[in-house]
Formats: sequence, structure tokens, C-alpha cells
Amino acid sequence: MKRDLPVFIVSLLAAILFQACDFDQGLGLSPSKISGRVLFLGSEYRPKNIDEVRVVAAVNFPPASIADVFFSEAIRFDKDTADYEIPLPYGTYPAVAVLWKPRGEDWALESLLGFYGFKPPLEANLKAVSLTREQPVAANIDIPALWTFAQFDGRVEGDLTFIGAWPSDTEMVVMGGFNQVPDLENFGLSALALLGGINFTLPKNVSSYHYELAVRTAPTGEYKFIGLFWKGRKISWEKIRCIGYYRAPDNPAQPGQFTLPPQGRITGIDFSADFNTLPEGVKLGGGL
Amino acid sequence: MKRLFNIIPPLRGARGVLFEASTAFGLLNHVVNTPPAPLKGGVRVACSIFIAFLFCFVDSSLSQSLGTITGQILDADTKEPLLGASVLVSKTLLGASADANGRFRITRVPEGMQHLQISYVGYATTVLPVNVRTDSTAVVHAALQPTPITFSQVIVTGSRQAEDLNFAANSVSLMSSSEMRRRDRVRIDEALQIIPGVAQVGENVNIRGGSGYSLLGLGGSRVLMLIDDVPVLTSDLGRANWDILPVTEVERVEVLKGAASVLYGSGGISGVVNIITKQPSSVSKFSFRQNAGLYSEPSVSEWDWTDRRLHFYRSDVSYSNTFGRVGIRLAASRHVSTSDRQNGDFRRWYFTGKSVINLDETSNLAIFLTYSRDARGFFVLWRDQNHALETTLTDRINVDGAAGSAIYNKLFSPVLSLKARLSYNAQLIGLPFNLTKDFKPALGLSGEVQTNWLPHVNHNLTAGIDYRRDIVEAKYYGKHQGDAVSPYIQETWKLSGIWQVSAGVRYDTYVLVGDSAETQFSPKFGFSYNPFAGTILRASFGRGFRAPSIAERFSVTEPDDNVQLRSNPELEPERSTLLDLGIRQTFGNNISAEISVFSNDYFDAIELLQVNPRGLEFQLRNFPRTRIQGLESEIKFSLWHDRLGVLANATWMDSHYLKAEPASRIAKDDPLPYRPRFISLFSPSLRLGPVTLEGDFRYITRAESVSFFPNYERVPQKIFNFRARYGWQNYSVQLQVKNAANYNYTIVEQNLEEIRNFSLAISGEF
Repeated sequence: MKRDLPVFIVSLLAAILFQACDFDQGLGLSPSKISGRVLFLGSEYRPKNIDEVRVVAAVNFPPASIADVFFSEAIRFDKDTADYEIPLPYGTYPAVAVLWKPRGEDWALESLLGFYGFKPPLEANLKAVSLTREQPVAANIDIPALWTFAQFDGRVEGDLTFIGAWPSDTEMVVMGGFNQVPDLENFGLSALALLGGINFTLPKNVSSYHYELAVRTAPTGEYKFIGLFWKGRKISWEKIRCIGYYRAPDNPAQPGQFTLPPQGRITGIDFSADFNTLPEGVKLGGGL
Repeated sequence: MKRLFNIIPPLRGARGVLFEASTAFGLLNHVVNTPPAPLKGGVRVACSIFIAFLFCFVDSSLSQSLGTITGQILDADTKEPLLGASVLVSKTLLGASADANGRFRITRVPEGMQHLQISYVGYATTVLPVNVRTDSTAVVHAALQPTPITFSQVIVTGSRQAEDLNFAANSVSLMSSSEMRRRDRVRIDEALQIIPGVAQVGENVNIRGGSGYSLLGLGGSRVLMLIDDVPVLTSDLGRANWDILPVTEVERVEVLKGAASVLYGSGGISGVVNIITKQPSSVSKFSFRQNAGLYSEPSVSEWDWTDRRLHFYRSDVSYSNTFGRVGIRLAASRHVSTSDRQNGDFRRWYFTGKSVINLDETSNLAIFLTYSRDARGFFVLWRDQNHALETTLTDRINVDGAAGSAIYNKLFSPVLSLKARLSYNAQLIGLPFNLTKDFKPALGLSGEVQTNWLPHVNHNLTAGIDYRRDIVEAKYYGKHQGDAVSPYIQETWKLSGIWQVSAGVRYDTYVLVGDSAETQFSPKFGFSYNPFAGTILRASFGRGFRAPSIAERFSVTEPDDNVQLRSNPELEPERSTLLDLGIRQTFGNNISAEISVFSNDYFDAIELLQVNPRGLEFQLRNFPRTRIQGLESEIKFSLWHDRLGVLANATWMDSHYLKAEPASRIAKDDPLPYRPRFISLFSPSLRLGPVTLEGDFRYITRAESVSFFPNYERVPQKIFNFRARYGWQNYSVQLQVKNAANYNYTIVEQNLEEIRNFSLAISGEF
């Protein structure tokens, strides 16, 4: 028995030590969240093939991939409004948006219905949401969602080539498809009315890229301008600059045109975007 | 050489030798009805040298005076026989394993004073001198002292022949069946986590940071899985099916870290896991193990997703006996779990059979077959962090796996032996595709001939050639066949009693039918130095090679699948260079410590790349060169007459890319995904008569980088497990708490690991 005494002492000490330890539990409930309401507009344009609608919060903008966004639970889309909640880690989310997904297809960032800061028809200032330990909950983040944006059933594809060095102040480049040629000298949010498709998710700092642009084919499917716009961090959305557009093959001085049938796809819409067209001050973050 | 020509009259130079080698390949060729790819020049020469080598020395030493050694090996305390204890005659190829009565018999032992090295995991190794006389039998009785810590052991992985772990030039770790049973491990990969430098990432075993995470099981294994020395990576995915065998049928697992590929070939570019199965018993033995357990409530009440009581149970039975010259072992297991996660439930069946037929005193034939069926749900991602045990995906999957081998062992003399094997490996994945007509089992057929020769008391030469054919036909991969031919040779030279040097080379050729060959010449060097009693310094360097699997090259999904995969037929093989330096020190009979430093470079590592930022569209591509360097340490000691045993290990690793890869958004010096920087284990055990109390605490730092959802919160792993066992004669009862602190963590994004669970196990043998 004497021989076993140290063994019992060690086991007793170990038991006391274990009891005394205050173990942390590792992961728990998400301490912070964004919540609010989605306001659906234009229900007459709501597609029949909707599978799900969710709110997403992006950790980067533009998101580099679908992995850069957090999804809410699926929300109801058969009423004019739906409440949502996204549990999120602390951090700043530069974009909170509503996405929809057609049946049998995967989530795509282009399937956008609206975003926080968008006030139809003309105000579109992307607003970031921050969650901190002091303010872990961001409530009332209400987002308008336009069913007309769900009419993007066509696809435009092509190779995009960048000329010149990417400006250091680049926040993003955005591609837009327009049913009419917008006024590039006085380009403003009024051009949204002409917009048939938009892509926020083009990569930065690449020399070329094979793009895909989801576009509406209703009512006519006629596209008169496919262009690329540059946005610096210090310039507002109203002042984004067109740095290149698809040109007519037989007359490169003019924008190229084409017509898409319902659910149509057109390829070979290749064009280049030239950063050298931007004023030097703008490239360095001087604003406009 | 003259005798060689007498044995094989048609042989006339290298051409004739090649003819014989091709005949051997023809056996496999006949089975698959497709001609193997023509052998390349290098392989032809190597085959020729090997065959010549094999037959040159067939009759050497046959004329020596020979005797026999028999005996019995028992536990010194309980006097119980030690089934599977290893007996080796030093400086020869002779050896045996103890049967269920602890008895062994070694014939054809050279006359004179011999030394028997007797070892068994969990017992102190002993060396006994035996005087052998011609045509007589020497009888030996050995009683091994149990020790909670394994200080010395005979291993087979690393040099493809039995050798003392203490003299191995490579870093090798062991895990015994008793250790796996004690720790109540269900799967072999899970059991390996107590080994220094080993961590689990999804279904991948990560040895010294060599492997990351493979989404959907794509991406072949960089750890080569062997069953009784036979490679069993699947032919389609190139993956290790760790679930093909119940752990109750495993005698021990040997883990070889670094410089492994030379003798084992494609696949083991970061390590080899060799699963040694149990031998048939010489008398009738029936054993059983019944285990049942319950999952605790989640520590976060919001995660409680069901009113059901979540539970699991396992039943394992086996029978073994020897009838005349034929020993058999049959086993069946059933594992069922509701899982703690929604749709994570599974039902598994295992059937295993092993037979050893002693053809005569110098040869035997070992036949092994195993089949497993796993029907389970597929927990891919959690719903969100506030519903961490729930998922919205409800896919299910069936995986049928089978492996079999026939190994013929022939001892020509105490210094020359031959091993020839044929093996078969199949895997069929059924649901969730639910398209069984579109899938056929992925088949791997292989054969190998290997010889060991001790031309001199200080030299040990191992040479062999293996051949493998992969046959895959599936909707997602298409129809493909590939052939691999690999000759190898290794020499181990004891320069003196304290120096040992080994050098080897393997030439791998892999040809996908209709495609060009991929080859690599892989050298390996190692040495060990024993300057003082109890001190071993060792070093090894080698190159590794892994040809891309058929699934890695050709996987393409349907346009409407959730995840889109693009094929990449241009994928290059992965290669590695592995450097390992270590010192192993034992102090008396109670303390052992080991420190290793390693530096492993990987070239053209095959990883999944998200190629389309708009959605889940991926392609497997070769990534830039990466480097993983680290320091690994382990200490084991026992105190108070072996009542208290402590095992502690820690591994520090630094992993990073050596080159930027803009397309993958990888910058130079970025950390590799899913690699922790620090892995550690502290495991004390206390023996109080028939009761053993044991605990372990595992701490692993959070991965610095992950591939798919980097924004979710990640925490380190801090896991406590406790066990109490009561043993009485051949029966035992064990209570266990896993993850006792109910700590919540993820290894792969959006996948909460197992929460706290309690289990009771009863096992016995009669």
C-alpha cells in the first residue's frame, strides 16, 4: 500500500486540477448579426422558376468568389416584405445584398435583386455595415429588391483585355449591358434605366479575362452598348468612368450591337479597356 | 552465373531475361484483356538486373548446417501468452510470430550461437542467446515485462524487412492494437492522431503538414496506405479508404514519416501508413467486443437539432484457428451511429478473412480479403454558425470497398528470401449519384516480386519490382486505364557495430493508356549512428513521386450539379524531396526521448482551385513549390514500477509557398491551407491493479489559412479524453468520455467536430 501512495496522490492532484480548470468552449453562437427587412418591388416581374432568395453579406467588394459572402436562411418571396437575419463574425461588410437562385442552378453573384444603400430608381450608394464588440448587432438593414433584376435570362460572353497599369486607387471595375447607348459624358444613375445587365464581380489586377454577363432579354433583347466602368475608392457611383466598350466589327468608332432571343447566349463579344483614358489624378485617388 | 543458365535455359542475355519478366506480367495482363503499356528502356534494364539478381543466388547457403529453435513467449506478470510477439534471429532473415499460445518455431537456423530478439508492443524488448546444433531443436522460454510505454520494437516499414525501430534511419512511429482498443478508435486514421506530427483534415491523414483538405474527396492521398505491405490506394481517386478494415483486426500500425517512396512508390510522398493485420491463431479463439455510447447535449442549446437521443454502437466478432497447415482468421463488424450531426449518420459492415497456409518448412502463402460497406449521410456544410449541427443538404452515399492479396513467401536459406504477391483493390461509390449503371468499381490489380539477401553479415540487400494496373469506368471520369511499373533496390550496410548506412533507388513509370509516360528516378539515403548505449542519431533524405489519379485528371460534373468540376488531362505528377534528421535517446528502461527536424519540399502539388469566381467551379491544378519545415519531439517515460506512464509529443511546423501564383490568389510566403503550426499531445496513464486510468489532451493551433470560407471564426483544438478500464483474465470493461470538456471546434470550414460522448465497451476472448 505504501508503494501505491504516490500514485494515489498524483491521481488526486490530477482530479483536483481538472476540476479547477476553467475550460473555454471554443466556438459558440455567432456573437454578432445583421438583420432587417427585404422590400420586394415589381412582383409582376417575379420569375416562375425561383428556387430561393437569400440575403448575403460580402466580406470584400467586389467579392472574389461565392466564398466571400455569408448567406442568410432562405427568405419568403411570395409577399411584399420578408424579414431576414445573418449571423456573422465581427467585421466590416462592404455590401449586403439580396440574391435569388433559379431552380436547378447554383448561386451566382450576378443574380442580384438589390443591395443596402440602393433606393430605386436613382440612388445607389453601396453602404457598408460594421459589427464590433461594442455594437454586435446591426438591425434595420432594409434592402429593396427589384424583381425586374431577375429577368437576366440571357448570357453575353467574351474576352476582356486590359490596357495600361491598373490604377492604385481602383475599388472595382463594373461591366454593364445597356439597351440604349448611355451618355458617357454625363453618365449618371439615370443610366440605370437603360441597364439590361450588370457584373460587379470581375477580378482586379489581371491583364485579360473571359467574362460572362447575365442580361435581360425582355422586352426586346436588343443591346446597343456593352461597356466596362472603373470606380476609384474616392469617387461616387454617379461619376464612374467608362474605360472601354464593345465596338462594332465593321465600324470600330461605334459601339457594337446585337439582339438576344429569350434565354439566348452570345459569345465573342470581345473588347479592351484602357486605363490610360483616365486622368492621372483620378488614378491616384484624386477624385473627380 | 552458370547455374542461372541451367535453371532458365532460354535466357541469353538481357532480351531473354526480359521475356521471363514479361511472362510474369502476362498473368495480370490476361485478367484485364488489355496489353500493358510497353516497358521503357530504363525499366527494361532494371527488370533484367532484378531477375538476374534473383536467380543468381537462389542456392546460396543451402548447404549450411541447420537446426531449429522453438519456444514460448509469455507476459512476465500474468503468464498469459503473447499472440503476435515477434521473434527474430539476429543477422539472418529468420523470424516468426508467436501464435495464440505464445508458441513459435523457427527452422533452418545456422549452427552456432545465435541471438533472438523478442519484442511486442507494450512490452520491453529482450535479446536471448541460443546455442543451435545441427539437426536438433533448441527450446527458448521468454517472459516479457509489460511497460506502458513502447521503447523498442521490430518494424517492417521503411526497409521492407524486419528491423529494430531503434536502428531505423527513417522516423517511424508505432501504434499497437491494444493502444487502439484502449483509446476506442473506430477508424484507423482517427487512431493515428496520437502519433507526433500527424493530424487529420477531413478524410486526409496529414503527416508533417504534407496534406491539406480535399473537397468532395478529390485530390489523391499523399500518404500511402498499405495493408500488410500491400498498397491499397483506390484506382480512381487515388485515395486511402481508411474505413476498409475494422481496427479490431489490426495488429499494429507503422507510420513512416519522410523519405518513404523509394521502396513503396507512387503515393507515399509525405509518408506511409502500414497496417499489419492479426495473424491466425494456432488454437480455436473467439473474440468479441461490444461498444455502445451516447452523445451529450451540445454545449450551445440552440444547436440541439433533434429530440432523439443520439447514440452509436459497434459489434466486432472474430474467430481464428489452425487446421493442419492452414490457419484462418474470420471477422465481422457492424458499426451504427446516428451521429451528433444532422445527416451524418452511418451504417457500416465489415467482413475480413485471412489465411496463412504453411506449404512446407520454408514457404507459406498468406491470403487476405476484406470487404466493407458504408451507407451514410453526407454532412457537407452547417446551416450557419447558430445551427452548427444542422445542414440543408441531405445527400447520402454508399461506398463499397474490397481488397485482397495473396502473398507467397519463400525462404531459400537463412540469408535469402523471396516474396511474391498478387493483389486486388476495388471501390464502388454509389449514391448520392444514384446512378449505379454509370459507375463500375474502380479496380486496381497489382503484382510484386521482392527478394531479401544478406550476402554478408553486415550487408542486407532488398530488391524488387512491382506492377499495377488501374481500371476505371465512371460517368464522371470516363473510361481509363493506367499501368505503373517500378523496380527498386536498397542496400543496408552495417559499417561497424555503431554505424549503419542505407541507400536505395526506385524508378517509377506510370503510363495512362494512350498517353505519354511519367517517370521519376527516386533515390534515398539514410544512416544511423549509435555512439553510446541508448543514443541513436539518424538522418535520411529521399525523393517522392505521385502520379495524378484518374479522377484528378478527368473528373467532370454535369452542368446542373451543385459543384462544377473541369477536367485537367495535362496535370503533372507531384514530387517531393524529404529531409529528416533525428536523435533518439533512452535513459535506462524507463525514459525515451526523440527529436526530429525535417524539411520537406513539394513540387507541382495537386490542389483544387476555384476557377470561376461566380460559383463553385473547380479544377485540379499543379500549384507552385511549397516548403514545410519543422521540429518534432516526443518523450515517453514510466514511473513507480510502470504504474504511471506518460506520453507527450509536440510538433512545430512552418509551411509556405515558395512562389506566388496570381491565378490562385497566392502570394509568395503565404501559409499553406489547413496546416496547423503546432500539434501536441499529453497522455498520462495510471495502472492500479486491474484498473487503468488514462487521459489525453490534444492541442492543435488553428489553421492559419483555409481554402473555401476563410471568414468563419476558427479556434484551436483543445480536446480532453478520459478512460477507465477494468481487466479480468481475458475480459475487460472500459468507460470512456471523448471530448470531455465538450469543446467546439472546426478543422474544415463549417463542419463542427464531434461533441462530447460517453461509451461503454466490453470485450473478451475465449
